[in-house]
Amino acid sequence: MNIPQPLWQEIEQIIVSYPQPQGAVLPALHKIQERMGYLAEEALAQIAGHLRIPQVDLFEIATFYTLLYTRPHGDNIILVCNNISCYILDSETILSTLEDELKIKAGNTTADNKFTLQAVSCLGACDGGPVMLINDQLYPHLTGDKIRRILKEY
Amino acid sequence: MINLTIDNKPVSVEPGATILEAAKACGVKIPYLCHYSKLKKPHGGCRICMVEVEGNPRLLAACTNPVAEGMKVITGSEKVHKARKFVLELLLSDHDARCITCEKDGDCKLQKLAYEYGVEEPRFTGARRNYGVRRDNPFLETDHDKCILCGRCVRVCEEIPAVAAIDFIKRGFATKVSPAYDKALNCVFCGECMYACPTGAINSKIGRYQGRTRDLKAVESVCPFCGCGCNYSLLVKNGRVVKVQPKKNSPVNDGSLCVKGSFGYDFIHHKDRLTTPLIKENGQFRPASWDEALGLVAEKFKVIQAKTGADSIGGFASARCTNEENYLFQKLMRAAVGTNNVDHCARLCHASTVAGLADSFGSGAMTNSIAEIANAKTILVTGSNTPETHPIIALQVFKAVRENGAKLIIADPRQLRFSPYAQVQMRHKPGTDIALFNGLMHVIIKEGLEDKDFIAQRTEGYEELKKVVERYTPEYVENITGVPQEQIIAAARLYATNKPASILYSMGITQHVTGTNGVKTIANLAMLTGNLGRESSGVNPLRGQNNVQGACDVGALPNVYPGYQKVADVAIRAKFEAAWGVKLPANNGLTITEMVKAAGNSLKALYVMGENPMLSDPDLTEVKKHLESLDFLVVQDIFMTETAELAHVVLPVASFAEKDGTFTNTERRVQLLHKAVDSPGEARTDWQILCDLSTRLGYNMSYDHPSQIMDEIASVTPIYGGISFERISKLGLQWPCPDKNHPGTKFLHKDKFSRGLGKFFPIEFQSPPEWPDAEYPLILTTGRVLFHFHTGSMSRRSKGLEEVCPKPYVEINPVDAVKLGISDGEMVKVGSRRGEIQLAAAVNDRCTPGVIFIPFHFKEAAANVLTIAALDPVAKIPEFKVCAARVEKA
Repeated sequence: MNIPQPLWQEIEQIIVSYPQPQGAVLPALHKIQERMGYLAEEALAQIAGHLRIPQVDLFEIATFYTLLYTRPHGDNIILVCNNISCYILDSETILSTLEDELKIKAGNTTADNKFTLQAVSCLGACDGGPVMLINDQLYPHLTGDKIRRILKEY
Repeated sequence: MINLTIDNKPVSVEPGATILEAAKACGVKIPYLCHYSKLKKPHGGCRICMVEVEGNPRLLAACTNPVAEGMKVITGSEKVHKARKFVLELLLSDHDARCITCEKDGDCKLQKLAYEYGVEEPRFTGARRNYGVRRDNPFLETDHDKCILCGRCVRVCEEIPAVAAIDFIKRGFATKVSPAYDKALNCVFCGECMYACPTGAINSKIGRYQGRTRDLKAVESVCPFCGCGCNYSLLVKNGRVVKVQPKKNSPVNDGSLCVKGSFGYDFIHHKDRLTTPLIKENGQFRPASWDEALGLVAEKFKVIQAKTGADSIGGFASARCTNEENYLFQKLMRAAVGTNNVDHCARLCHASTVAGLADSFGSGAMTNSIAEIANAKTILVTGSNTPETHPIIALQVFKAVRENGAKLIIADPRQLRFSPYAQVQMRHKPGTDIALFNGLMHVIIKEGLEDKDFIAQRTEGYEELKKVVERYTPEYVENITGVPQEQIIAAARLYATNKPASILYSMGITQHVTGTNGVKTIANLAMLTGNLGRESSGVNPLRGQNNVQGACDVGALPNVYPGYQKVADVAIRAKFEAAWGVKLPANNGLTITEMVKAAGNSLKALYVMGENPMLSDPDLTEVKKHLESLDFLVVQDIFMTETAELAHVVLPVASFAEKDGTFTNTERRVQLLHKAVDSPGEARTDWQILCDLSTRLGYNMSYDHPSQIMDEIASVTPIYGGISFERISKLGLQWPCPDKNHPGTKFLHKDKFSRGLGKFFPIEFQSPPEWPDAEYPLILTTGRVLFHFHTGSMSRRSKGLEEVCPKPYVEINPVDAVKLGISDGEMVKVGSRRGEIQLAAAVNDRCTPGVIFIPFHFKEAAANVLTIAALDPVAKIPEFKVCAARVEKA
């Protein structure tokens, strides 16, 4: 999937606003993801060619960050924290509840393409643990019932 | 200097040196895994090289920490030992330690350290990465579970070949080294990552399970492919070459190889190797004894010699064979047969360089050394697809541009792998080089950027040149070449002012009917700006084959004896008559292209040693007709080539791995190769065959060893005067090397040109012999690709090389493809006035619109069926680079 022309123009705007091409990498990747859903191989190749940064370096960055996706995903992305604070507050059960409700294992997408479920390290909201993030919305202090209620909102 | 002690040993090092470097300087061993001295910067990732520094509570990484005055370093304390062991335990907790079948067993840095530090059972157990082994490319096998993530492979790939095919992907525990999107590796396959890997994580698929370092005998040799002349060891087990290892610190390749060097050696033991002499009877080959075969050759030669004269016999020497063999070949033709009809495939590549540079400077070879390229400030590459045809020389260009801030100018119709690094890239129409460089000179003179002192003191003929280039205004040149004026002006300014500037050129300049003039134009440009006779500053023709330089040097040419001493010179001829004890013919002989034309007419017999004109020469249909009409054709080769198939007698020979001798690489370095394995069947070395045949022809030749032949070469060849096997056993020597005490010559024309003054030749642009028209609207240009070599008799019998590049193709620009309704991968017919071939279309923008490119390696769609046999009037080199062609759907 190539980057469509109007989006490309926006990305070029981003690139010229940074003194070094490296600086533009993350904002550009975020912009592509925002519009195209994920970082497709062709799109990354286009950015790599334009910034003269090897494609594999961009892929390294994209796979380093949890919030960048290099594969297509469901309409909604659920990220469940499994780091220490949430773990102590039984995030394992939270994750298995979600797996049961959605009938998928973490790392997969539901058959109706509605949800992608992912376990991640730390969402930076330890005070609210156990937490999950659906798209841009953070849900703290989770319980089984709360999860079922939240899922119905989508 | 900074003074410090390491384990109480005093040592002084330069400021900025690291503790590790200081330790190496005073002989203290500090272990490490991620550090790789070939790389520019230390990494500091593995934490194995930790040392104690007095007064510092923490341990420091020796590879990244610089020394300080009075520093006291302790490398062997209890604390250090514990820290290193801890790191090893962590590494081994997630390492597949199946050393029993590991390719690196006995040569693995991790295994060695685990043993030294006594890590029996790792303390830490738990999850392991289970990524398994990837084998989905022709050359490399990646065992992720043996990877310790030291990053050596990632860093070398980015830094040395400038490829950046792999990187760390994912993060934390899940990290692995992989190409983007976890796809199959698709790179230049140089093997640099494999040589850098400290464990058994990256292995050669070609040599896997065939022998580990401790079982292998290393025999020093020289790569038999291109003219770079890379030094490597053939690793031998049970009489077979199973792997190779590049030579560290070699001035040529410094531990690097390209894909052909690293993985292309398996042709040595290919089942198609010729193992017995063959004689053709009733159109079929039958095996024969050496006595019968050589007896027949000698008898036929004698009969033809008696009937139609010695000049009705011709010989093709070989740029693939050693100096010693080429010397004997030309000696046999001249002294035993009595003709100067001896030539070799340099005629088809750099004959115009030899002729052109000899006229301009007095000698035709690279003026500088390979290693000097990295220190040039400006590099002008023209008519050379260096990253594919001379990959190791391209490493120097990458180093110059990426590390040393050099500026790169490219003048080439095609897009090349280093194009993105070019400051100026001029994509001129094929065959318009002379106009383009005259344009550069016009700008330089107009803007007063010429080197007036150099011109006045070191050259002649400047006024005539000035007059000619005056006409070549940027506007006029843009019209001819299609290169925008601004680019011409920018390139001219850069080349003339940012010194030292070095020119690299190759077949794109030489393979034209105006090849000699093209070379002289390049020489003009260099002399005009004084870019000659200095380090990193000169004119550098990159020679195509492993020993094409040497074959020329030792006189496998029709007009010169060894050392470019002219046949026409009576005194020189008298010298060789005295040395060889025989009357020699006085007339210059025929060139390859002339011999092919004369074959079947005035030429009755042809003796071909290791050449394949049936694929390498232009207009193959004509070549075949001529070769078939010969009374007698002898071919000696390692394989049944397209030419051998037409022969009356075929003689099987030893490959480079099966003999001692010398090759001279493109930078004039004479280097030694050693016999590593026995020849298959009854195959013999070329030099032994030549001695035997010459003796049968009545001219006695007898040597015990090739070193004696080199001694004879040295005695009659002033530029090789100081060369002997003994002297070049370690490093090789660059000619001119006139006597036994001479250290060899790094760069030529230092204070004086070989001919005295450098000569400017005023040269006008002249259109190629065939130009597109309505019937044949495209320009066809031909050349090589990274994965194959010349007529493919070796590379196409190499498993990996053939797997990665199995099929011929024609590169065509998308603009033309759309016009013709052709899509990528589709079969097409390409035709010229001389023939037609069918092959797949590769639609990409490597060629400009109106230009197509076909590699000439493939017999099933031989590019030379299409090329035109028009010749340069001086060098007799054919026009391989421009002819008119058309493309149609097949």
